[in-house]
Amino acid sequence: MEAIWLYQFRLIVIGDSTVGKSCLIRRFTEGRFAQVSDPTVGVDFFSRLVEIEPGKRIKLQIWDTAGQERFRSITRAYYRNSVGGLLLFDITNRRSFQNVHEWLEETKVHVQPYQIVFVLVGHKCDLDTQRQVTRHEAEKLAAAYGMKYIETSARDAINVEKAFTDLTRDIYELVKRGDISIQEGWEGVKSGFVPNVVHSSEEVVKSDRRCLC
Amino acid sequence: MHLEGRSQAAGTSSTDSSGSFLSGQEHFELGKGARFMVLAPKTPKMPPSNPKSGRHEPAASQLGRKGKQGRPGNPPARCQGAALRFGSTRETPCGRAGNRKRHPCDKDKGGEDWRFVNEKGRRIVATWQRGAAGTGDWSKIQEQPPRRHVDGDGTCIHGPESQLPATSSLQSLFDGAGRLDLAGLRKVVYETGMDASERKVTWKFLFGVYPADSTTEERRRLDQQLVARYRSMKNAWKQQFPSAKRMKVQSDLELSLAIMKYEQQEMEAAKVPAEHGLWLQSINQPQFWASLRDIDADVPRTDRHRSFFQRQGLVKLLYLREILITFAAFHQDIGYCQGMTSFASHFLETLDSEFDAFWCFVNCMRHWAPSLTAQGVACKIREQQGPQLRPTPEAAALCRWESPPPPSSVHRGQGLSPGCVSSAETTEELLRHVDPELHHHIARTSKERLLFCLSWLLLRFQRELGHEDALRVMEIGALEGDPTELAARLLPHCREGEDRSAPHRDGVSFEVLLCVALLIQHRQQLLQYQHVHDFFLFAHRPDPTFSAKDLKSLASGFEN
Repeated sequence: MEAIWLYQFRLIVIGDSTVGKSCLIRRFTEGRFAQVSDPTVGVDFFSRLVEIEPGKRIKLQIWDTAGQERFRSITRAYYRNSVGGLLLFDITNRRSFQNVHEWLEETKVHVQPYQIVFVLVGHKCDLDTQRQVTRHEAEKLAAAYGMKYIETSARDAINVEKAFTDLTRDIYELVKRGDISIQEGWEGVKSGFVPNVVHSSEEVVKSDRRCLC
Repeated sequence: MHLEGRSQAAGTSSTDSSGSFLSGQEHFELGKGARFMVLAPKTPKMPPSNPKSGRHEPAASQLGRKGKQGRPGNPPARCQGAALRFGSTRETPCGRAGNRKRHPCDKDKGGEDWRFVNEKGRRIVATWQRGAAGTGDWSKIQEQPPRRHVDGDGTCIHGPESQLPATSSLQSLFDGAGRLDLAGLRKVVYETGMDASERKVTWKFLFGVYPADSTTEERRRLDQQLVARYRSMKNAWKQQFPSAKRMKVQSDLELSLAIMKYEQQEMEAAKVPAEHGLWLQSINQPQFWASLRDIDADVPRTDRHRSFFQRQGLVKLLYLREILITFAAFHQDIGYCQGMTSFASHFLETLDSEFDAFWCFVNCMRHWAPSLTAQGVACKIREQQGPQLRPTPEAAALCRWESPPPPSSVHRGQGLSPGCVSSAETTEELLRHVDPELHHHIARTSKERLLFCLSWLLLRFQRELGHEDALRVMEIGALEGDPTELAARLLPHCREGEDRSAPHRDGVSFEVLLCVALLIQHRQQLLQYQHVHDFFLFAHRPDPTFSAKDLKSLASGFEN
């Protein structure tokens, strides 16, 4: 099947070490959960198509990043070319929640002159008994920064689809309204390939031969 | 064991006039799908080592040279080959393949002694002798008894030679007083690799724990000192940071049980009066706690599925943890870098002793850790991000050493020096040179170019190759010294006025060569890829069958 999509969005997934970034992405792109996964060194790349409305597909390029401080020199290079981001913390790890502010500051500095649409993700919500961050305070923090908040679990596949598709939908709306536009030299949003429909204002790019879903 | 099957299979192999196996790679099915490879002892253009200097000359430095056959210092042709042999032998629970390899030191005997080793532990299961050249007749010399498992709680110290199998040809490398012929060892390591049982001894030489000219008696004393030193280092951070003693785990029953078991063992050990720990001078506390957090996050997900760690209910993961914490506490210029666990775990499993693993790890990290630090990481990818994405001066400043490093490893530049040659840059340069079509295709398809190889380069294939092959890459890496001549030839700006000892000067290291060779080996597959995603998927799961013929094609690529 030809991979056909309206747009290609580039997303970045950030957050402290071991909050479950790679597991969340793997659950979303590969549909599986590994109990043990190697720490990410540098950056990693994943891709998936999502259908936001019947017949309307968006291709997501997802950059997974290392949580450890020493890899920031690599990971921060990817902020600039991302349109959306999932900022993860682990609901059983208070420190990872406290660092959310730092992560946002970090991205703000390096994303100029563009901006990233973030969603705050409270991960590992299956471990509710060990919770150290209440839903209420996370929602409050998210609201303070104008983000949405969602709780997910890669292990139990809770809200994983929703986290990515809601973010994609929000970005799509912004693109449709013209708040975010395709720009030369910026990888955040690219227009895709739609058969029989040519958007006069958009460059039509030949799609990849392979299905990536 | 399927020894009969093996000898039969071996007898059917083609031989040349000198009695060497000709085939580049021959696989033989044995019994229930068990497999071993015939290692081709004679392959031209294999990278030789230089026994005179005792220093391994990395492969690429030879590849660009013509007429190197018969160069002084080259090992005899029949000893060449088999150097870069990687079989696809990931650990599986049963049905292990046997692997047969010939030790160069056996070459002077009337026939040829071939040792059959079990690939899981590389244990010698039997030694067979092959008759006069070309006859292909085989006779079994002896069968080895199963290797006694030496438990690695580090409490007993053996003289190194006593750990060697009685028939090990490695013993011939020691003189009467136990001094090692290090050049000979390096040659053997490069050309044929080591058995698991031999690594327990040889790695301590390779990774610089033992001086080559030490005698058996000196090494026995050194072992005692190193054990005492490690104990007091461990006590130091435990006394200064008592809450760091116990690993904090969440919802991991298996590991929680291991912690209880470990603490019991420690209480037993504490009955022996322990020497007072060193006092950590001016320790950077926030950094210590940050390292501890990362270590506690990474240790539970390191190789825990491997039978070595499973055997005692993950207790050995806690030894791994202490190795890493002790290293981080006493090497504040480096601290803990994600990825170190892979190396430390391989040392612990191979040497099966906490003390030996620690000291080998320390020495190894002196050379390798700089590439795992922020600055090293930035350096590894320097050229990949395109000019606009290079680290800003601020970012580069952040990447600098956090405290003055020891003089031996000091990086004299500020931030990223103009002469900084990244592994990725060299890899790309090499690929462009050797296979322009593939390079062009990758550059066209993926804006990130060779970023998908970053993990290979940073962690030296410790994750992607099978266990045995990963160890092989590690020990070959230990042979490497300075950047090679090839870097100077390919990248003229490196030639003059630069400090070759700076940690970022990777040059053409073995992992760079291996990286290029893997890419070329899979070029047909890679040329089909139309999306950057495919490259990353490939990098996660490369087919680890890697054969000497790739190096050959690499070499011919250079010469054209």
